[in-house]
Amino acid sequence: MIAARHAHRNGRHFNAAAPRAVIVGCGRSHRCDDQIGLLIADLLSVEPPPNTTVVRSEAPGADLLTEVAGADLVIIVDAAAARETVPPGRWRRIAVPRRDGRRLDVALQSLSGRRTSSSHLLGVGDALVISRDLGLLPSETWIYVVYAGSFGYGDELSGGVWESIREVAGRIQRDVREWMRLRSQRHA
Amino acid sequence: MSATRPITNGASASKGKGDGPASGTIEIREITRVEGHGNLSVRLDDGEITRLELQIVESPRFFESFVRGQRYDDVPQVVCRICGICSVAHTSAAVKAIEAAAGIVPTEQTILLRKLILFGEQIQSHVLHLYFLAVPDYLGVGSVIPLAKTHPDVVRRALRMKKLANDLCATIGGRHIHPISYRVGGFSHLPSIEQLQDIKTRLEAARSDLDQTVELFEDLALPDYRRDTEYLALKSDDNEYAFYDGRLVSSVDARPTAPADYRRRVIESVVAHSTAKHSRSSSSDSYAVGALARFNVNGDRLHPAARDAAHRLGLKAPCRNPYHNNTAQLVEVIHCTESAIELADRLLREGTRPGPIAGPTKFGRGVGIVEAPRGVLIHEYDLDERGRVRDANLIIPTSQNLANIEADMRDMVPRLLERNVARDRIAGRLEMLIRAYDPCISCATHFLDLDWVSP
Repeated sequence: MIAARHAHRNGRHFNAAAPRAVIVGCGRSHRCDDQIGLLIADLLSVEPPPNTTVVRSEAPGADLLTEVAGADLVIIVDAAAARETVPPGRWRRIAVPRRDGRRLDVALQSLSGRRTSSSHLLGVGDALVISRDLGLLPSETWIYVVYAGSFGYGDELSGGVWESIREVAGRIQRDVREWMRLRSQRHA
Repeated sequence: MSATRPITNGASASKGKGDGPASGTIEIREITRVEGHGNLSVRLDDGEITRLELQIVESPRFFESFVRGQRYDDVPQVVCRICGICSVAHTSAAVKAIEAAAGIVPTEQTILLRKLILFGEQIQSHVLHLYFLAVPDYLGVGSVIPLAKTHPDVVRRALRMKKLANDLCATIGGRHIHPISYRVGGFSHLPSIEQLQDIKTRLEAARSDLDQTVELFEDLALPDYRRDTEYLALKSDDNEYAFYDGRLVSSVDARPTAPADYRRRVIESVVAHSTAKHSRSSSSDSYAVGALARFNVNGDRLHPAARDAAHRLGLKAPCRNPYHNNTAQLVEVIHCTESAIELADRLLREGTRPGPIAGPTKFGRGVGIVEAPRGVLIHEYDLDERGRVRDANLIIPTSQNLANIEADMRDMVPRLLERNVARDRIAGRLEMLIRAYDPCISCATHFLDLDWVSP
């Protein structure tokens, strides 16, 4: 389930000649910390970075495939289960190493995890594997992972998670703007 | 004796006594490449089927209960969450039922836009099923993941068509699933002329992708199987191939039944092995709904381009082969694309005019029926004097097909055993049969785990 914020795509910020970024916030509504990606997408939708489409997705697989085509940068935001050594709220950024085939394989394998044969259960990793095989993988893919304490029913977030959501949304804003600036300089 | 050995697709099977197929049990755990969780259990004793159950093991979802007490205009936004693939159909059925209950008559422009978004949903759902779930069977790969390696052009084409259908739905409904501008009484937001023109241009450009899809399906060999059954679908009072409105007719009883009288046709019952109800009709113990049923009932009303495609694909009404539901889906993709082009053209010609959302003039009981991608979808609401839901009844296409799928399998398994078809191939046939109906148990999966265990 995916819902894109299209307004800015047709609005004053969108420039077809400039690099294009897509941000996909993944998660499940009303499933506690599993909402992390969706909430970050909601925050970013208020004032998206220029030339950026923000998408909130509850089943990113097949729909993610349709969104990445033509993008220069794809950012995926998702929750990951916290562990004893990694408490809820901690977050990290992973850059998918597109130019290094072996490292890319390892990265995609670890993201994909379960090899499903169902389109409806296609995960983020599966979508990236298919994108790579189709030659659709953008030149840069970043994944922001926020560690989650609970995937149960409800809207309650674990302690520290809301603060991380705001922090990650701000960081993505800055990172995309900086990427846009560097890309523009490179192509000037 | 009970033995289990692995067979194709991660399934497993075991033989009956004496290594023969005359006795044994087929246990299919987690039917996959369908939506949700279901199992298949078949028991054979001396060549006779003594048990055949398509077990639906999903938890009940209680939508009919939790819309009780909701305001009439909140209901479509709640019930469209029943499905992430056919949310437009659920919205349409709910809105139509509530408008019937509240005495609201939508404008012609509203109806055109509703038909247009419904075309978009049919295209996106059928393309997803055909390319992501069905085609891997016929091209001999396990799923769309290896398909991207072996047939990248096929997957690229599928993605282009799905994206176009998603964008069509988003243009009309505000987002591509769970539409937000599609309201009781009208649309809260209208597409711009530029958006309609863009969609029309892209639909026209999709014709070459459709042509190549027909070429692909011309080369696929579908199982040769047929069984007489009843096919139920909407038939419109004008000459349209019905998706948005019409009355219920069937291949057995062509007398039209008004939506409000659907209970005369659709008789639900509870079975012990399924959390989804089964349905029978007033004429048959089971019946089929979906693309093939629509084709059998309305085939002569298809767009000429879709009729040509049906001819190329060898699909001719009446078709009794359930595997050809996939073929009918493809024919419908072409019909919906051409019809959407015509509708977009008409809206561009006539222009879109914002108008007020029509309000209720009464509150009572109303029924709305549309053709969801998987078949006849029925919503019924009883509203109290304040416009809040007192009672609701929702009948989804898959629950109507379950008894018919079981009947197909009850007919097919002995035929396959008679022909000494290997058990792993029987498993494959059953998987493909269930998949051909494109069932939506709740949130799809792919293959079958099959156990064939001795009694």
